Amino acid sequence: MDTGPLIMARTLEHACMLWLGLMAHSLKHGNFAIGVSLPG
Amino acid sequence: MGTISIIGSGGMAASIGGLAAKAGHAVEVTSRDAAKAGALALEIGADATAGGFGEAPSGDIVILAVPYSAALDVVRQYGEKLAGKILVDITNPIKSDLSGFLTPPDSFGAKEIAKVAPANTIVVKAFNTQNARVLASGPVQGHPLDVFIAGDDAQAKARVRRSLRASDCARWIPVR
Repeated sequence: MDTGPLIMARTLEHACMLWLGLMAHSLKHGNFAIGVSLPG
Repeated sequence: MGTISIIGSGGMAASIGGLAAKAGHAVEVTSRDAAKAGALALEIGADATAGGFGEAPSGDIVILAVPYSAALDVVRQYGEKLAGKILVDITNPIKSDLSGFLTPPDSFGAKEIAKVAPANTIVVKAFNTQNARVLASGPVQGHPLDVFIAGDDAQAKARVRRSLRASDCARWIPVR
């Protein structure tokens, strides 16, 4: 999924922080993926 | 199908290398540890090869699959050998204790990598939100995984997307 120009990499890197936070503090495992559903 | 070069020999290198091989690409693996690169090439199969670390990658698309803490030095070491290549940054510049980022507040990992890469190297961000094992295992309950891509060059991004999907592998290729 194309998120746009390279500046969006900053957002993706922050999204990984979210991913790691979920893994470390909530889900306690790494068997999940961040997904996006687009309506329509 | 072209060649995909991968710098690194860890879990993400294995997962992405496996995807690339199954999509019909030749895969070249390089690592500071030549033995690990050779072992990963054997694991990937499909005639994957081990290249010399620091030597010019054979692929036009180069996956930078090393930790961010090593990424800048690796890119500096390759230097002009990355000129004209599409450099896929899969890193996350996050401190090991998750307390923050390793990059300056006004910057981000891909930007720092682009700064040390040759001027005509095209940096594309991808795969950084994926876990290696999840990526390798493919769709989750029938849903393809989202691989987010960011970059300033639309053609380069399209090439990265095409490189990891093929019609005969569409059932499991997670990139969309």
